[in-house]
Amino acid sequence: MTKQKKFTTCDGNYAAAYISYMFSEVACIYPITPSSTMAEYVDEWAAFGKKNMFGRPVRLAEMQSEGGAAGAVHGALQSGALTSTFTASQGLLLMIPNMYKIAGELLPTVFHVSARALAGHALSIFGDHSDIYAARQTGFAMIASGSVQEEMDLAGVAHLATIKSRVPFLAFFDGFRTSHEVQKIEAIQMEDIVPLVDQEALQEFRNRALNPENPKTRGTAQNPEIFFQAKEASNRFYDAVPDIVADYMDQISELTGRKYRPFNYYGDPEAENIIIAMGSVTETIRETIDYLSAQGKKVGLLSIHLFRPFSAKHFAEALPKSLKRIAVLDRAKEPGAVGEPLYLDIRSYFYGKENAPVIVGGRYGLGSKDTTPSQILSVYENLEMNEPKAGFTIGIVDDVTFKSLPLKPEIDMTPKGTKQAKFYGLGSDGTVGANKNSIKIIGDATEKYCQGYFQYDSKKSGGFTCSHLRFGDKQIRSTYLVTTPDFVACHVPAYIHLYDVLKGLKKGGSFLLNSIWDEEETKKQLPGHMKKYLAENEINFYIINGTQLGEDLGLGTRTNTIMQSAFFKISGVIPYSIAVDEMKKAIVKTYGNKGEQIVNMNFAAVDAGGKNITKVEVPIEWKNVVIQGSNGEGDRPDYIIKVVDVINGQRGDDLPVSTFTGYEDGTFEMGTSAYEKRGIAVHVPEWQAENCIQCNQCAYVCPHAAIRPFLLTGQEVENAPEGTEVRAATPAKTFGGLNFRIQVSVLDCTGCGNCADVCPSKEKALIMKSLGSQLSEVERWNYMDKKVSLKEKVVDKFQSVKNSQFAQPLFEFSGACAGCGETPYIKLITQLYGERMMIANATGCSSIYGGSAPATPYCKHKDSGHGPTWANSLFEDNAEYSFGFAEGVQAQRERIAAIMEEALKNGAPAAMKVAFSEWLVGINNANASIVASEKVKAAIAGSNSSYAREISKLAQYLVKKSIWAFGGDGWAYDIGYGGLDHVMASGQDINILVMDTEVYSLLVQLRNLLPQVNVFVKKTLA
Amino acid sequence: MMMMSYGYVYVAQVAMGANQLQFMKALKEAEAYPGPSLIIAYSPCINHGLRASMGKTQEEEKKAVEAGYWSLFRYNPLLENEGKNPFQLDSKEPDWSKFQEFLNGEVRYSSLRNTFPAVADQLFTSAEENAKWRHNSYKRMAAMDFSNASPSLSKGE
Repeated sequence: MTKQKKFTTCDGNYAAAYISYMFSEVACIYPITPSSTMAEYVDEWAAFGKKNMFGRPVRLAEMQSEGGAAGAVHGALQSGALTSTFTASQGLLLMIPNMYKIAGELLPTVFHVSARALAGHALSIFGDHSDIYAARQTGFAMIASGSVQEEMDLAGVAHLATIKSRVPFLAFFDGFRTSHEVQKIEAIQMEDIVPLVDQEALQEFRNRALNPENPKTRGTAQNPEIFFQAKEASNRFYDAVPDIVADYMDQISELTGRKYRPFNYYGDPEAENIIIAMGSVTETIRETIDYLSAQGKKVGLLSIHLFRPFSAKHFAEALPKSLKRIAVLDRAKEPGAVGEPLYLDIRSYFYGKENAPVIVGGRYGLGSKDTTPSQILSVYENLEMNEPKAGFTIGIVDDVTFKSLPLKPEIDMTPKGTKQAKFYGLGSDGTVGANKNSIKIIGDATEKYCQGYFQYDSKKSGGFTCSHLRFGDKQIRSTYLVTTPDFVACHVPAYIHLYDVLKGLKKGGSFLLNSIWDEEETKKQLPGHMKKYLAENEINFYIINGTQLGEDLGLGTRTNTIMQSAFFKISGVIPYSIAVDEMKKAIVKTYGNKGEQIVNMNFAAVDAGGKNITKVEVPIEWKNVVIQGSNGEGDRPDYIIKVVDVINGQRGDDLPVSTFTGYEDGTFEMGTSAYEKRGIAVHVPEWQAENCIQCNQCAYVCPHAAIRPFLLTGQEVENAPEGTEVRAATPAKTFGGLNFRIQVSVLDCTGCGNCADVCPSKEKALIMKSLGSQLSEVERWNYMDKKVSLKEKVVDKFQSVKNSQFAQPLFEFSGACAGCGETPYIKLITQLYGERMMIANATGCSSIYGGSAPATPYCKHKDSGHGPTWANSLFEDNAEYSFGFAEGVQAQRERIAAIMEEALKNGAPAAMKVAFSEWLVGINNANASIVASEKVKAAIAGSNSSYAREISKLAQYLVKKSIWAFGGDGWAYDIGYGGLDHVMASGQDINILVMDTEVYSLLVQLRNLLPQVNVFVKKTLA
Repeated sequence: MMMMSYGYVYVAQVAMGANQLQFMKALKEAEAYPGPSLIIAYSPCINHGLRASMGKTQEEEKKAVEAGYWSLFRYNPLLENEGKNPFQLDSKEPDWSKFQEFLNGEVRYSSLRNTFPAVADQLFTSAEENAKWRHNSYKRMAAMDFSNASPSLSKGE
């Protein structure tokens, strides 16, 4: 502890990759959120020749799946190379078979896992411990870290201990909360940690490697007479692990001054009530303990670092003698179990012991549900009850099975002097990037500790973002979102009407609004509830017209630097002059190679941000503003109002469990994206009727189905909103006097401009204009959408590109990026076949924009009520999933056929005979089956015969289904290739759409081949 | 190539921005084909870093085909029953002079050139060679004569 401390500002993934790089010769990976950046760091460092402890760059191989990555790790270990991997969630599940092998063969490795939920009723990319719990029986040792600093400190313990003990390690930390939280931490240096390596053990590992010069046979099949004994022979290696880990923890503690043990106790030495937990929640619990201690309460926390092997000895050493009651917190759910895994461990430790404490278990934080200090308070309060509730949940309201503990108001428990700030932004507006930069500035330029966490929704771009920043003189342990900010900045003017941006802002705090209005107009625009809050809480209210300044400076919509500068000016976290210098230094670093002009433009933005802030006087009478409830729009379905709008308003945390009664199986209402009306486009197309040649290419290419041709009768034109232009539909012979109009849904448009770009008219029939100038189209769209009848049968939609666009898209307004290359393909498929389509969708972009609650773009046909039925299973199994659809449907249709054949044999009535025969002939022909199915339905209607009754129960299978598997290249070329190949070879009538962005498969090539490149080839699937 | 080798799988490679009708034809044939069908659709993505912007994704598909980066074709096993070549190359002879220009239009490639110029040049040359080699193999397939071939596999029906 005599050395000068070296601080760095980074996230948990960086910390894990940083340590892992030192100890790895080979890394075999497959990317999966939220672990991907660990591999990306290693890849980048290797490409630039960074050296590991052997003075060599790491060899990184990207495989076709996590199964492949684990197999390659296994092989590399057997060849005598220190090898690591990085994964999470489903990826870890795919590694499990090999993890048994690696453990069984006592091969030293570290798997770094950013723990994430597993897909069940829904996919979640967010954090919990479901994945690592699923690996706890593999024989891997498991080390848990609760913060970015712990990750830096304990990742090394894992690498050191695996070499010495031969037992492989899984080192985990919480996905997103730790993996993506930016913290200022102390970095361990290679020259300090490498001397701790047990060189003898390392050499023995090399000596044990498979090598023809010292040949071995390893991995035999063993029969009943020896398998069991050979398995038990490994016991001594596991018995040795806890002491080896504890010893290395001592050495790391000495190096860093931070005390680590397999189980760390924190709190009052005479505590009677303690919590046992692992992961990032332990930081929040410590904060809560500090708060309670200050009030004289004696409580504690046992935080677990070495989860496997579970060391009873070290556990007993760590417990306070005064212990009476324990609450065990598990970040996972095991439906049907007596309790969750950690709870069961603790119970079984105490089983049969004298004076065993009362032990209750509870669940928290599933899928990154934020766990706040007030939730922890309720856990301690539960322990104080006469009969503490067992099997409880925190952080939600369970009004169905009543397992939740009461939710309490948030209390600020951050240490004195900690400043908290929240920034509301729009995906890709630069807010998040600017905030990361601010943290770095404050972290690097001052002694202050800092923390940043970034919240996104699942829109690919143009979505909601909220940055949560904390700065202080003491280490920041608040591993939860900022709930009581000192400063709030709203970078998107429209948000004041959408979200409760002031929620939790402290009395006397500051609010900065990017306002496109001047002071007086801003006062008019503010909703009543905001006025009241500002006045009652004596908020310092500032505005700046960042949007205008950005445009004037030539920065377009990127207002981030202006707003960042304004933040430094107002918040005073560090002296403003220092902030300006540092911001400018960062600009030179980022944009230096893009030319002086860009640099100067950004310099000007820094200056503008400091100079153009207006402080708005908050009138005292705003305290008396009467808040008006929103009337809501009349035609919004109940589900939209009660569920979708709530989630979109960032109030989804308030929804109780009962909201999902009837939706337990993961079903979500279809077509909800039509109610979002996000209005995120800057420019939208305006139709120039006189130039239009009615080719419908604009509609054909639109990624969001936001521009469509309509055919209107004279009456429909008459009833249309004033100023609705139409042209006679051409050719007149085909359209018989109908009128034609291209209609844009300007609030659903993302403004990409592909429609205008492809317009083949001599004079463009579409011109991009500002959204503001086109708002009168909203009413017109509503009229076209709701009041004008569909006329897709006027022409044959299969005949031409033009005709296809008169059919209703049954995939609309998805959250895909503006200009997405994938979605126009999907849209056309739904227009042609949507009413009899079944879609299996591989996990990836297309499953996210295809169904991210609460936005569902697949919808029902207006006339028939039929539509694509859509489901996502996994990433790797999608072809098989669609194959299952086909087999299942075929089984039902074969039953129908068998019933009909029997009916024909046994003399069914004439009408049935004709219909059944026709259906049987055309069973596998889509059009024939549509026609015949109607006849069958008519023939069996009203009949009481057993045939009719049986067939009517199967009626939904009469029409031939169009069965599809959708996915990207990552699925089709790599992880799902084996299944895809098998399904194709099977001959089953299935259609597969591969939307090839080359993003997965091409990366394979670039990664593998740097820096020694000789080939550049893509796999050929066709 | 892999799926076409089965002989009873419908395969199409498309890029709607390059040929709108070819995608629609492929879609109709694939859906109607009484067996497994595969459509591989070229999809520009925000991760490509299009210099022309995401407002030109359809145009980018067109450029990809013109430059020989991507080919359009359909492999319809049913044609073999009629004594026709099941493989049809739907895209025109590429203008190879545009190949490097196409790569330079996307940051996913140009960034490599900025970071590792020598490596990038070598890679991009070999990418072009590989694209030519592949296109030639498509042309050879399209030129094959099936008039005397006796269908030995049962295709669909």
